Amino acid sequence: MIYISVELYLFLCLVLFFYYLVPLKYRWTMLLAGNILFYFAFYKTGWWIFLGTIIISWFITMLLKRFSGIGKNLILFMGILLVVIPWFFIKNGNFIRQALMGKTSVSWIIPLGISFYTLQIIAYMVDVYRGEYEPQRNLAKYAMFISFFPHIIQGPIPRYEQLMPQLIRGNRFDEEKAIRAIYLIIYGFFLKLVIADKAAVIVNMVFDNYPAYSGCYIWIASFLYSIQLYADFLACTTLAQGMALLFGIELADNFKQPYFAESVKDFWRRWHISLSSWLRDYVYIPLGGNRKGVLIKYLNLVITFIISGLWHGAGIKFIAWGALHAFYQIGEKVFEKLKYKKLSKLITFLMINFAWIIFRAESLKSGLSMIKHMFTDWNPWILFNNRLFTLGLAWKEFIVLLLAIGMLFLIDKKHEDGICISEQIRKLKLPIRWLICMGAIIGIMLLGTYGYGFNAQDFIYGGF
Amino acid sequence: MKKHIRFAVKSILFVGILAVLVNLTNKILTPKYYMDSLWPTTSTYEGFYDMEENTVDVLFLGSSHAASCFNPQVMYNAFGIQSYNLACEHQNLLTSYYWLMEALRFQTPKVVILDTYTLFTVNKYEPLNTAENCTRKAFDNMKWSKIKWEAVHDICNYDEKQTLSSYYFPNVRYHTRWAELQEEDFRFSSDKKHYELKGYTPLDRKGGYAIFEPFREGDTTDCSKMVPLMEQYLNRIAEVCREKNIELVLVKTPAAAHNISKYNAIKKYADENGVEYWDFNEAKLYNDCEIVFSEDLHDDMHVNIWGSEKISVYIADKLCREFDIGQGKGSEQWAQSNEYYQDVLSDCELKYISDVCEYLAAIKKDRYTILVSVLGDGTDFMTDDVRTAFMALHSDIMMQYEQRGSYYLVVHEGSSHEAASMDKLSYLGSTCNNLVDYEIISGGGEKGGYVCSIKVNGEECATARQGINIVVYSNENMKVVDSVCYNGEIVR
Repeated sequence: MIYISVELYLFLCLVLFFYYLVPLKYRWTMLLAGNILFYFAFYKTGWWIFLGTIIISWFITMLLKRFSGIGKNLILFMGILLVVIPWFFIKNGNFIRQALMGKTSVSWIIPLGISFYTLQIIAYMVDVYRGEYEPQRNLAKYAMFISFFPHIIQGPIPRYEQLMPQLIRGNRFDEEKAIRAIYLIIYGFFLKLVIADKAAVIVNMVFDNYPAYSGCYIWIASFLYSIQLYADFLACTTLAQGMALLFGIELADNFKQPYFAESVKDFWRRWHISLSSWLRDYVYIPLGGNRKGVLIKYLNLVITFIISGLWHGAGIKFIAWGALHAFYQIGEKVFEKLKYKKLSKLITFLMINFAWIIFRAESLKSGLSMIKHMFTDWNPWILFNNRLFTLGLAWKEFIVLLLAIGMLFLIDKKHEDGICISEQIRKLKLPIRWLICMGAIIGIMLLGTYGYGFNAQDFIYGGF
Repeated sequence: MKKHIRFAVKSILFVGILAVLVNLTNKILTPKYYMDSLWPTTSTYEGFYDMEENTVDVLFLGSSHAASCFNPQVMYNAFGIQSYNLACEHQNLLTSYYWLMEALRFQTPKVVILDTYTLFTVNKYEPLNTAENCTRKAFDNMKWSKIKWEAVHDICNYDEKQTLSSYYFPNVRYHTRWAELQEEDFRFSSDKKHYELKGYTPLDRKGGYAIFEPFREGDTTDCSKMVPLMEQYLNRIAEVCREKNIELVLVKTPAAAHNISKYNAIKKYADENGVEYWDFNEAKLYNDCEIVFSEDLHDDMHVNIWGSEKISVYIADKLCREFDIGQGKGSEQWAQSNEYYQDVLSDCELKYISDVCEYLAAIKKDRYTILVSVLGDGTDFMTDDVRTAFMALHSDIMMQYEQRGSYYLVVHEGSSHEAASMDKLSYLGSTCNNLVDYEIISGGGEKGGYVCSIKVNGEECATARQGINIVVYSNENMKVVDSVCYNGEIVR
């Protein structure tokens, strides 16, 4: 919940004040100070693992510069191993203990954003190894790049060459960027509080009590989960982009209207783009990509998506979810000619929706059971007899959720058509712009799902 | 640079307007409890801030037991005592302490009278001993100052469910109310004028136990255990009173939940700390006040307006004699509210009038809107006296009302609308400057069907029994005062 806390925005104002106060040349030091302060003000736990990983990886990249041949390969391998080991044990330790060793789970020390910074560091080390850029000699600057607080918790996973120059050069205050940043932050709050957390009320009710619900209940909850996950993750990316933009820093887009995808392959070009491109560049292509024949290509696809599944969480269901996406894409390739173009978006959405059920369910078994009950139980009357309003949202709240989803759809449609809504708003006259902004803020304040009586939802991707 | 300054000015203006809008939204969202609520907590606290500074000599604190018991108007009328009742529903001792501190910013009371109900366990599942929403009610109306700041920090320290941000930004607590906002949420500026009762809450039922027996000191030596947090805040209250040279009096109003063990515990505390303790459940005070539990209590826990008059006069007398308070030159603040109090008293008494002619005479007041609808046959019990009483109530055609006919009457500010017919009748109208709408339907049974409805603001208020149904609406307090049916006798 850090990204939507009042304390974070007070902290942000403080860092911004000092950032623009110091001379251009030293502004990066304020970002570093902000990152350290952020970690200790909002998290604290596992800072030494995070710091250790930064120092080790920096040291590895320094060594990579001096070695070549097998020595260089060995150093890179060692570097990746040292960075991955903490992530592997922290994220998979309990699964190994419980499922494989039959022991009880333990409480691991989890550094903030470990899944994200692990990938960020691996990408950096591999790029240095490949000689794509010189390693950063200044450890403080490197630490600032890894720990940049707007994206540390939930990405997007940045690339060194895209982000580092913006962090180091120091940025002048730019009004246009500041206004865009405010729009992004308002939109992020809308996505999180009015859509994701409102949908979560129904999703949690059905998924957490799935034996009690069947048929249309599961259809609705699964559709809402697809929307919740998208709105939630898009919210945190949008908020991160907004916060970074206040410093004049542009973070890469992480989504491109994923539910408008015409195939699962297309979906992965639009969903969590920074992870997809990471997997492509550092797993799929190094494995051989599609250069070694069809069978190897499919095998690489399966490996890549199983790794993607494992990154999202420990357990069979995540492996199954990753594998399902790989098989979807293999199937799409095999049955390419059968594809019915006009329904491709709908079919793609339904396929992804089934995969999300497994992703969200308690276990693979319960996920499959839910999918089975979607088809075997017939109860369409719940759509007409007010039973839907017993799932935790009263009818007025339900209507707000539907309208908000409609608004998200329209915004995405405009973006798909190449029209940027924030650009459109910025072209309006000042009083109308202010009216829209203030209306949006008051609207979110009234209609959001937060505060006393609500079990506030953490950002879903913050848990990965 | 000029561009940056322009941007800064625009930003400040934007934030300023937004702050005003957020504040207004929060004001609308925050629940309000004015004179049309059973427990008008908002009136109690907002009214306190309206009092002239340093005019209140006696302050009352405590739970709803105290709010419905200590009657400042009666005390003023009897002995000229200038008091204010800061009690509210489920007021725990933490709330009492901070409201005492807040009161001391504006007033210099000589005596503080504290009801001790929440010293003992009220709700064991609540960290503050009482419900969260009641604590909120008390603090939502407190002005921001160092005292409120300390209070909310204390509350949030003890109660993990509560957050500081919800006090700074009430929308965090109340935003879900958007779906249930009512008229009173928007008309708070006009409701503010009703502070006449100085925090006192009048209750009008006579519903106490018929078999209540007061206990006697010495019946047992058992001692109940106080809730440690509540005792801690009682100590702080005692300390503040000592520092400010204020007499602290602990009291317990008549309540079935009180017993001799609790009495012993409070008595012991009072003796050890040199403070007075008056317990109206103990036989001596109970009998001195001539309390009749079944007559003077609204329910088993709260005294009604008649019980409050007895106890308030008793306390006022004691304050006068023992603390030399009252009998001063008087104050307009209390003198001018007597008329309103007498109206409230007569509203309460209305419910106990059993003679229809007396009843019709009693409701013939401009401050009432009277809504009448006949269900079934209204002529059986329509004596000449009753017809005459109706005529006096601005009914011109009651005399012509026929057997098994429909009839309705609306009396409002000296004028009336009425109709009689063999068909079904209905009438729509409004009162209180068109803020309150009502709908009357009458079916006498012949051709009009057998139907009766009197709705005020969409809410059914008629008893809908066979006979003449009467609803009395107070224009002043904007609530239904009484709803009866006359069918030979008055039934409720």
